[in-house]
This record gives sequence, C-alpha cells and structure tokens, in this order.
Amino acid sequence: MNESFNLRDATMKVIQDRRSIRNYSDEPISEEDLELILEAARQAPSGENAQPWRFIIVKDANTREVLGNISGGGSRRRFTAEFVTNKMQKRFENLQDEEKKKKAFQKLTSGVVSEFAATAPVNIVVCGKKDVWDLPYDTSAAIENILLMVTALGLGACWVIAPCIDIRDEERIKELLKVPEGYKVISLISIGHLVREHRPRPRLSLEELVFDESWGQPYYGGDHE
Amino acid sequence: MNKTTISTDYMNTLLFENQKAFWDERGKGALFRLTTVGRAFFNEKILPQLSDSSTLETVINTIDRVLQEEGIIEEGEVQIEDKLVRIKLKSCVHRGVAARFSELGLPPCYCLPANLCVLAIDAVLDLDAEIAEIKVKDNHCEALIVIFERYQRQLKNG
Repeated sequence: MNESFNLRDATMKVIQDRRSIRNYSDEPISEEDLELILEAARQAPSGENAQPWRFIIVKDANTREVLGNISGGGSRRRFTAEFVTNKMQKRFENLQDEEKKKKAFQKLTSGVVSEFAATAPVNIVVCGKKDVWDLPYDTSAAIENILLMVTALGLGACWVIAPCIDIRDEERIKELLKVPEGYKVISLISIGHLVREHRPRPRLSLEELVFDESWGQPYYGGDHE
Repeated sequence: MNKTTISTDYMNTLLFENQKAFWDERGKGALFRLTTVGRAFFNEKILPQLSDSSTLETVINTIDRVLQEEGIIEEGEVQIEDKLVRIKLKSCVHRGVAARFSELGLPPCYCLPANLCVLAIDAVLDLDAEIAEIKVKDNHCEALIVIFERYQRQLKNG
C-alpha cells in the first residue's frame, strides 16, 4: 500500500475494503503473512480471557479437497431444500433479471458456491473449546480479526460456515482433522491471493439499523439531526 | 424401550422447551444442529434390520414398521418421486411438539421419523439427504426429504 493514512482512516479503510473472496490465484501465502494473520486472531477480545480459540492450518491438497466437498455438499443440501419448497424463489423475488436469477439458483443449489476451500492455498479451521461460556463470541471476534488482517495484507478471504453449520458435516470435519470431543469446529476461513477486484456488497443504512433508547424509534433521521 | 413411561404431555412439553431453547439461541441455524437427534434409537432399533442390499423403499418401509411397533406413530404413508421423499405421519406421539412451533409461527426444529430416514439414507444407501420441510396438518404431519449423490467438487480449476 503506497497511500498514507492516519490510524482512524486506515482502520475504517481496512474494515470497508474487506470482501468475501472465493477465487484465488495459485500463489502461496507467505509464512510471514500467515503468522501476522494468526497473531491478529490471538489478540481478539475474550470473556474472562479464556481464549477458547484453536486454529488448524490446512494446506494439504487432499485435505482441502475433502473440505471443499463437505462445504459444497452442505450448501447444496440446504439451498436445494430451500429451492424445492419455493423459499429461495421468494427470497429472490425482487431480482427482475430472470437469467441472473436462474444462474444464482444454479450456483446455490449445485453447491459450487461453497467448494472453494479446495482451491484456497490456506484454510484456517477455527475451533473453540466447549468448556468456555463465551465460545461463539470469542471465536467470532478472532475470525473478524483474521479477516481484517487478511485485508490489510492485500489478500482475500472468506468466512465459511457451510462445512460446520450442520452437525453431520461438523462431525465429518472433526474426524478428518482429529478434533477432540472437547472442541467444536466453528468455521473455516479460506485465504488466498486475489485474482480480481471485488465490489462492495450493499449494506443496510444506519437509519434502518440503529434505534433510539428502545426498539423501533430510529436514532438517525430523528431528533439527533 | 421401557413401556411404563411418563405422560406424553410431560415428555412433549420438555422436548418443546428444549427445542425452543435451541431456536432462541441459534435461530434458523437450530434446524441444522438437531439433524442427528434419534441416532441412538436408529442404531439400536432400525439399523440392525437393514442391510447393504436395502433400497430406498425398504429403508423407509422398515422405519415406518418399527415406528408403528414402538407406538411412536399410528400410520405412515410414503411417496417417492425421483429425489424427493414425502412422508405423512398419522398420530405421531411427538406431533404436539411440532404443533406448538407451528402455533408460534416457527418451523419445527426437527421431526424424529424424518431424522431417522435421513440417518438411514446416509448409513445404508451411502447418499446425502436433507429435510426440506416439516408441515403440521390437522391430524398428521408431513415431511419432505431431498436425496443427493455424495458431493464431488465440480469446478476443478477454481
């Protein structure tokens, strides 16, 4: 990065530049970058400083292939179930372009949308210690730190829930990676070098998201302005 | 199975409260955390009655028969259309749990007979399956299951 930013602007730029990247070049991730990414994760907030997170680095091509199949299979099952019950069609009803809609349905119901773990040079499998109260929150904070550091390094990553949201798939991953019973597989973070720039996804406005003192009364667009 | 058991209302109230707690914690994701509920029953009562040569029809019919023998459902009806399996369950002892979810406008978190079908499809037929929908009707429940070949990555070049 050749530009110069103050800390506030640099922080916001990293947050705003983060994308979910699912296509990667073959270029490997350097050990120096990987260590920075993991150090960022290690510094995440943790209730009672329990630090329940553990990370498994997966680079092996065969293991990545299995992860890609578990992810793709999980997405295919869930999205197809959504499609055959017409819930997906309802979700996309505002999309007018029929060709685009058809492509989206095909991408989702085929499972292709989630199989990219197989082609990412590095996958970080985030696990959490079950015997900790704040397990999902702590590990999620660590994951966000990973994503922000990946962005700051000019790399791309995607936070993938597809291979662990269903307990059946989580069991497959635990067996594959020998994760002990006391730990839960939280997510997979696929990381690689970008092959192209990605546009930002739309976000809801603060007017829609933020309430004044109690639920429902917008904080922005009201008396505060 | 111990036949001298507690009241169905008591059991179903506890099951409902358990499932509701999952729903409150995980929202829609709760549905995918309960996909293996019934595994112990499946392993003990159903799996020994199935073999490698079982077909989808025999698997579903075996589950139907065992559930009737155990007094869990009164009657089961199955329709298989290509990759879709529709099961209709009359007088399931757990209907009250699903009905309470429906009354709240929420999707039932799981259906035991449907879970057993999915477990059997995986273990015996070596296929993947997903419960697409659980519907509570006046005097029965209906579950729709989708079946898939095992997933193999499709985009070999990224």
